[in-house]
Amino acid sequence: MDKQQKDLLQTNIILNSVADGVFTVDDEWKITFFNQAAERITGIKQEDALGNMCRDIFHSSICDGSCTLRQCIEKDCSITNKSIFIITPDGNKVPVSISASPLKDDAGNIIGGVEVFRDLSEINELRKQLTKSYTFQDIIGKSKPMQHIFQILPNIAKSNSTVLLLGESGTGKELVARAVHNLSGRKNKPLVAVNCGALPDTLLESELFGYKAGAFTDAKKDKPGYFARAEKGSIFLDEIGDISPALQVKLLRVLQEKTYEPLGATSSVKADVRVIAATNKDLEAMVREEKFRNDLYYRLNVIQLKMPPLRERKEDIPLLADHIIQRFNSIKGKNILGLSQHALALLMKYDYPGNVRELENIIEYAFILCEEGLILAEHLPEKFAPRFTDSGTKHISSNFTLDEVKKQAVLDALERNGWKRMATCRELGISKGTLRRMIEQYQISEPK
Amino acid sequence: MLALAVFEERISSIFDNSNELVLVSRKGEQWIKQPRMKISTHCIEGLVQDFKRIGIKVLICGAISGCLQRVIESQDIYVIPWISGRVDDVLLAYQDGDLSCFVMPGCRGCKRRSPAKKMK
Repeated sequence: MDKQQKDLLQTNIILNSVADGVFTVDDEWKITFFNQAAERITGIKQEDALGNMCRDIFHSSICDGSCTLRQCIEKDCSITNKSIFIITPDGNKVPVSISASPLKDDAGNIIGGVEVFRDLSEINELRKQLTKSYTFQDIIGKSKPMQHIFQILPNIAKSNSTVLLLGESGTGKELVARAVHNLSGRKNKPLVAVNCGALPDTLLESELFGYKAGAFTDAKKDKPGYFARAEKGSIFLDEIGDISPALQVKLLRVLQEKTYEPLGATSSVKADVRVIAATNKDLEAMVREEKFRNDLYYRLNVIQLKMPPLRERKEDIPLLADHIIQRFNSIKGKNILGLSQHALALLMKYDYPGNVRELENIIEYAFILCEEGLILAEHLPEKFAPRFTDSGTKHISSNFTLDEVKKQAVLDALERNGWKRMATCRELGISKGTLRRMIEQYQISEPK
Repeated sequence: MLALAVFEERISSIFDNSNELVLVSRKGEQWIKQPRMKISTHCIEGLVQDFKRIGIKVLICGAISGCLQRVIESQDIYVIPWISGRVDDVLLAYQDGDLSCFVMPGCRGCKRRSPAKKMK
């Protein structure tokens, strides 16, 4: 056996021992190598594969017109981690992640290509299981406060009492309102959502309670309001803290007497509607300041649920990000695999004043810049460490001294952590004393 | 009516992603090619309804997932899957009653109700 044969045998042994499927093709797209993992994943035996066109063996979702290997060979480049699916001879659809590169001879001429593919079935199954246990009626979270909400929501829903949802904007109050409705005995009747802050007071009143013909100049015929439309169902009154004192009185009457009067009506209408109200304002403080009626507050506040802001449940960020990425993948027809470690680390450090909605916007932005594979740090909006690349290396001019680099690192960490020294110490992995000394040494001061 | 799921001038590699059909009708002993037809496999219900409406009795295609094959077969459409090759060659072989030369390597006998030879 000559050296070349020995090398080839050794290469075959190595490639047959790896867990990923590997095949190579010549310049006519005929398979020249097919390892054991490729046999296992595709369900095609090596003897059937060798010498045949790769598309007749691989049966993948990209074989007709979007072949990755072809792109690599034509552009002389490598492509990694593209998610596709293949169909095995027993009819199973198998999700795989592929990477492809051209193969060259000693003179650098392209003589074919190599494709490596990994079976993602198990990962996808685990992901589904994981998401299932941390998902409740479209609400996602594994953090303690969210798990607590998941636990009590079914009982709250069944109680038929008025629910007051508190929480910052973007924390998912409407999702919870929908969950309360869907889990209640009213689920087959409508859930009508009204944003009380979006309409001027007079219009809101007529929209909520409806009007009779002739109630005002343009009222040509009767129009039922949101309460009528939600009859026997639920009404979700978002931004309840924004309604006027006059409307507060009318709403109080609905809650107390279960009746209301449409504009221009001479008699009351009965209402069998469950009220779910929400606000991002401090209603208690508004009651103290006499901006909100205390009797209405107590009528609304039968069951109170407080949605935690995202910064208080950061352990949910990877799960939420994954869910949002999967959703955008299906909406936008992309195959983004997830977040790189560095991009995730940056997202974990951020405080999200806009909560989950802001996280959604950040990922939507990244989807524009990221074509495929993983979302990298450079795909995130400018505010996320713009001077860092995904390798975590900062673009620092070679003229910088070690002290200047240290100073910049401390300054950046302080800014990221809102000048909280303990948080900065944790991020930098240094003691409080070391941080204090560095601040003094580099004369760092908080901007006024 | 016979339908072949195609990509350009060959049978498409997988039916689950296919977006074009070549339709062939039979008048006595004569086979007549119809204009190509665009399809979407994203909505299986709509696809099956289209198949029924056009009167497709036999579908020749490449790889196909088991669930899609079962749905189509449930509408009394005979599926001949795991076929590759140029459309005209496959059509001729089908008219001769023997597609065995066009079965994808390693897929002989895969989820087919009866050998391709018997279908006509």
